[in-house]
Amino acid sequence: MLSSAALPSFAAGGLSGNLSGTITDAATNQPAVNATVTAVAPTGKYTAHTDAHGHFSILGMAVDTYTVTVMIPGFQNFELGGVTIQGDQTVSIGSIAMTHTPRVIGGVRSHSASSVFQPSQTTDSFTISGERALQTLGKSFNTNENDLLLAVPGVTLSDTGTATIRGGLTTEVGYQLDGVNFTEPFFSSNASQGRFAGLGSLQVVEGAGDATQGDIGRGVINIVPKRGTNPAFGQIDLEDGFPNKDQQAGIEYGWASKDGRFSDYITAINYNQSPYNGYSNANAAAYGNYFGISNQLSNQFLNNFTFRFGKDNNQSLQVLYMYQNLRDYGNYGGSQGLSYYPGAPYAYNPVAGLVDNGDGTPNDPGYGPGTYGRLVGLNPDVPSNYLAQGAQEIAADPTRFLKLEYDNNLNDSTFLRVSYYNWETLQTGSNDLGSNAIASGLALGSYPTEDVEGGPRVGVTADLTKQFGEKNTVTIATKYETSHPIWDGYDPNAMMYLLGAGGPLADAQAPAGTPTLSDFMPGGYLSQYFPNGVPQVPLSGINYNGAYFQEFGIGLRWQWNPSPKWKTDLGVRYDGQNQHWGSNPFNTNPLDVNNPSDVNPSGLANQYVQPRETEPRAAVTYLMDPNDSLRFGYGRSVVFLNAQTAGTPAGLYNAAPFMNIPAQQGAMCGSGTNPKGFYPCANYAQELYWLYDQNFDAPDLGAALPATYSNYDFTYQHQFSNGMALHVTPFYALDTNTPSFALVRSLSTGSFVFSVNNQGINRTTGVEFGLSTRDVPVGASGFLSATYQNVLGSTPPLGQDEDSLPVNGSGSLELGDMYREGYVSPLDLRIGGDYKFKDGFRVSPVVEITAGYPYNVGTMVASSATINGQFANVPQVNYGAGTTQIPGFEYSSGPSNATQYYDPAYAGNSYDPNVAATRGTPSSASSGGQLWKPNVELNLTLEYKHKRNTWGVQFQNLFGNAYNGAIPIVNPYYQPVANGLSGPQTGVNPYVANSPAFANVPGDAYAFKNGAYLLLPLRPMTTTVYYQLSL
Amino acid sequence: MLPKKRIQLGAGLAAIGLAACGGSGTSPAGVTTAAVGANVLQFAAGTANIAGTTGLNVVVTYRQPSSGYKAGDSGSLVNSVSLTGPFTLPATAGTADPYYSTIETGPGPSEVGHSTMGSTPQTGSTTATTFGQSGQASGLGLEPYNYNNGSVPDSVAPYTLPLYDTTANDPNAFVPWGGPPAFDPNKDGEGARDLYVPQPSSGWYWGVPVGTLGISEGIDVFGGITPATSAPYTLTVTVPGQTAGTTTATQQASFTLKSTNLLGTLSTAPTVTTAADANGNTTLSVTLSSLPAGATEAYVQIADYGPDPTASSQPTSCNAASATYPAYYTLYFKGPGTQTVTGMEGPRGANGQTPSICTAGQNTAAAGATTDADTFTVQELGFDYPAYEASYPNSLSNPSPTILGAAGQDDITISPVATYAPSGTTWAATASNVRLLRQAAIRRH
Repeated sequence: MLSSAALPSFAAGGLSGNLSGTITDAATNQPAVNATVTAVAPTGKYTAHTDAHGHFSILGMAVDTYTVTVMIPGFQNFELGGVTIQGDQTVSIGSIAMTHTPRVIGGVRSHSASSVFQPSQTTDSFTISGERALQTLGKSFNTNENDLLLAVPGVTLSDTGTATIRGGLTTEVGYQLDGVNFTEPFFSSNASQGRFAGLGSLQVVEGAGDATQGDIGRGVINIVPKRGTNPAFGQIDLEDGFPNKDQQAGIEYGWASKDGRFSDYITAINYNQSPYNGYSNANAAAYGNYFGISNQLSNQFLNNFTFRFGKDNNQSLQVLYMYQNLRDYGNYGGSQGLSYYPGAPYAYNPVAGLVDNGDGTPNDPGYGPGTYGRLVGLNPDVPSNYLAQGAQEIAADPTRFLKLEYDNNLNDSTFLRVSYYNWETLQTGSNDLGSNAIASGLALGSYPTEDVEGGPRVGVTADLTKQFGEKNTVTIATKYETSHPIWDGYDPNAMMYLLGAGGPLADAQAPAGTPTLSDFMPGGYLSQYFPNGVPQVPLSGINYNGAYFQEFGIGLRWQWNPSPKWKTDLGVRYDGQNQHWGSNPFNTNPLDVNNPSDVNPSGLANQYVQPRETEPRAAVTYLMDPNDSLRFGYGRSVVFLNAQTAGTPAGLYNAAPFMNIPAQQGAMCGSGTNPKGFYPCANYAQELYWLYDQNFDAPDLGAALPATYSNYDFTYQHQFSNGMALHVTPFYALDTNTPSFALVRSLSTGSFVFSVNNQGINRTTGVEFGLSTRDVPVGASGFLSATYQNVLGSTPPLGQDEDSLPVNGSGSLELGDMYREGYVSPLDLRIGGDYKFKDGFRVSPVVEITAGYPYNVGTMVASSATINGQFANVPQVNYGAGTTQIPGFEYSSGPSNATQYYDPAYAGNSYDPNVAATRGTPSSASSGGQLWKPNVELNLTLEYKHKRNTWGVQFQNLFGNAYNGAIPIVNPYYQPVANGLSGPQTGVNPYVANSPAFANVPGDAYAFKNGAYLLLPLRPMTTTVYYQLSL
Repeated sequence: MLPKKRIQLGAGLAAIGLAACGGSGTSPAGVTTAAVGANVLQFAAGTANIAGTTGLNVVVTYRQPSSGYKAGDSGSLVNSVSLTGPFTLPATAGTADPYYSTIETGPGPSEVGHSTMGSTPQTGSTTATTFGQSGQASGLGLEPYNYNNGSVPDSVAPYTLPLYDTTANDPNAFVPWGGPPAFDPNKDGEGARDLYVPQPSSGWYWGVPVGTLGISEGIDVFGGITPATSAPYTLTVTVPGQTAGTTTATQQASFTLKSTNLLGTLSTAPTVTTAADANGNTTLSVTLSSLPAGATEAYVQIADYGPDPTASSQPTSCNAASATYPAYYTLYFKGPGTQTVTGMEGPRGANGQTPSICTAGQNTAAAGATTDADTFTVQELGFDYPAYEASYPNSLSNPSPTILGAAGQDDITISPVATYAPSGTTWAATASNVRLLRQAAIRRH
């Protein structure tokens, strides 16, 4: 019979697990009834009693390593140490025969939580904690989540430095904090923003996991904070780094009352650093790093409190609170020639006349001094004079998190957990900075915008676990949550452009009834309604108008262990989403009551806005012997659209003064994509809104289904006699209906409008490989984590945002072309460990190796236009219209990005171009056949601990190669002579060469200026010295 | 759908400004370079008889060697050329085009009275010269094909001939585009314009770089330059280096004329006979009773300008030919005989292949309104060297096609242009129309 001091939850993501076994009398071989079984770890103590069959089980145990003690009066106590409870798994200690005399019991080996040998697992999951976490992070108080994640086989980083699992998109990773959803609502990114505080353990479930886990594609990452313990622990951390500023101060303290009723863990970490952008001690402008981040300040705070109560502390209440805020400050690299909007310090405005785009024309397109003059006074964010940019705050990313959890061991075999969470994360700031504007020649698409994105997520989960005898455990997991995705942003220039400031609808070209800038001028249409002056022009942008998404799910999990050697894990989930879109205040079409309103009504069908999915899960584990096990798993999972992929509602800010102004005669509003058509505008504000919606904005909503994933994996695990462990998992994943974005149209501004569809496919095969050693107090121990993955998908490499927002040509999707995806390296290897000396010294090296990233799309690409009525795969070349220009790195078209060049003396045709020259790289005919240079990075930590004091130094990127991990980008100014030889103007970037900011550029900054490709230097070697005091 | 913000970020240039960078010891992997110095430069000259007027004919091939990336293709996509010889450049400077080239109308201002035709460096200089920034020695001919910072050629259209043409609105000027049936790479009867690709907005685009209306014939004839045997002509080709002001390779070839004798004068264009085929499409036949005196081969160039090419708003042609986008046809004669442009050798349209020359009925059907038949021009060129054999695609993959004729030099004779305008249900030759020719000549990429 069971009574336990259970406090943790049985949460999705593997927050807790179970322990079971059978106790017998060795003399009679009969079940030992009412034997007391106690499991003790720093985070908690659990007690159970055996039933009439000698069986015991403890449900809902916190993931930790326990010492299990069996006591029967008159018998010799039995003690077994090192029993590790893994998340979502039931660990059996087997059958224990009790004697009256002491003896050694075999049959159960201890494994640390971080060992890759976890033979009882039914899902492919890993836990990183304690010693293993220290080995991959190098030191405590390292809050870099990526450093932690890379210790997990199957987890790699995309080309943007974002975690992926088994080669999936970064948006297909489910994030959790202490077992509850911690996925940012808008982008489906990690709400932690890559930093953690108070790490207890990291748990990663790869694939679909068991049936308690929903809304994941390729896996779940769960950060479990520390809890208070008895005895208490604490530490103060002080750090300083160089060559760039890198300061950190942190403190943590955890305690628990002796009776276990109260425990609390609290930590606070502040850091202040100057990010590394290229070489140290170099002029940032040398690398074109204008207007970058000059300084970052971060505050992190976390408190994890638990109160246990009830009989034998069988109930608990947890309050977990976290707050963090990352603030960025600008002006890194200077601000020559730019000013900022006084009303919007986040947005920098490349004021015409001060920055020449270098094309030799006196007035840069669309933004000449004349244009600027017209904007002053009309646009609230255009300054009346030029203001120099300073190092003001340009972004703030606050996150607050609250979780309340109630656990109850209802009876000996029933465990209930209910969690409520309420959190919000926001990213605010300027989208675009001046370097972009310079490089693109002040194309309107690069103009700055302001925005706030992210949003709150509030939810409740309830899990009920019931054990039926020794062999069956059933769990019902339910979830309901609401997220409120936020993207409130505006582009100060778009509306001005459309109204005639050099735009396509300039006064002279605007048809009757089209709002123009003249309407705002004295004597213009609006002046009659505003005798005291026409208000400023409203700002166009994006606004989700209070949209909210509901997600719910229920999972039924049945763990059946027919024998000590066999474990099965079966289940099914049902998940759903309801998209509630905000009402469009600018749509009064009597024939169209739908909102969003610029879409075909068929796109509002339930299958799109109220999708439902049923997902089976099945896994089986076979324990071959105490040192070898096999497992196989299958799971289907679903990822619902986030706001970014679901739709793009247009917005209009500061429009109130114009809501009561009659529309101009003949002005028509509405959407051409909606068959219900256009309608006479009700007021002038509507005219402005629809002007923007129809010329700049993507459709509010697209008829897209959620992506579904089928995950298959097979695992072999082995434990060597010396404690080393081996874990090999070949896997296959097939993603269908993945969002893919097809070009709708190119705007005259150089921007693009895309629509989402479900033609995307991803097929990944790969192998996870893990090695780990036994943790030792003195000597060497460590781990090896490797991932090989062959990721084939619909997206050509290396498109920007390919890892999260794949954009494909319509022809490519129509033809079903598959590419080796460029956002993940096919091979990633991390080796870490440490050597601990008796006298307190510790040396901890970590080597991170990638094989490079695929970067070529092959010689054939899909045409973006039909040829003779059909899409076709054609050789990629620097033709203009007619062929897809996805020549290797960017989805944006243009001959400047081409990798092959035709001979103008005899060009051939689209099907058979006469290619006379290339960029000079060994082009592979197949997509992804070329990898960029391998990356090798070495981090090294040297530490000395004496009593309560720890001194250390940590070197990162010890090889000092600033290009480690850098992904090449196309040099748009590359000009081939022939066969890859650069030409006379190659790299003479007019925007760079003509800029006074580059006057003092060091010589090596131009090392690649003539190259076909450019590399962005990432960081030099950095050194951090630290002192830590144990409390 | 997705927010515009992300698209802006993804527009491809966001990182460029962050990446004008480099570092010692690190370089992009696998970049290969060409041995540009191994390119094969061939140069010859000869006389030009331009409807009775003397000029200088220049024949150039500058191609990648057998060991090159693409043997027989143009040796470099960017180079600068200079041509010197026993001549004094005309006294009147030409008018520079947007690429600082004066070649179509005269020498550069600083070249007047000298004996060197020069180029303008592609590094920002704005000095007008004969070849400007765009002129290059290409795989066939001296043409305005230099690649620019946009990674496209300045032009894909060959120079309008004759070069150094001081005749205002020269009625005999022409663009040496080769079309079917002689220049038909795919041998499908449609020439180079045999793919139908609708452009993003409107219009036709034939699956070739915009502005390509045929196969460049690589003919360079300078008017106003009197050939001479007194000294060699020297062509210098400079391939610029990776950094402004540096040079990767310089190659030079010289040629001395053996004779200044002209080929026989072509005082009139040949007669074109039109006929309706079984499908009602118009065929164009030309009979040459003999090649021009001294010539070993000849082209007859036919250019279809669509209906009413001088109209301010030109009606639609059934084959998309217009004053801006003429459809070119070339008949190749190796000796006396008759050659024919069959009825369906026009560019490919949305509904497939189109008529070579559109009748009034066909144009009326295409335009949806009463429309005239197409207007076309005819012209003959005679050569005493293997111009056709040395041209693309006939000499594709050949680094050094034979360019010299039996006489040891390259002479050319060119007839005047005859214009055939609709006359009833057929066509009649009239005076050539200057305006539409010049419109065609200014076509650029």
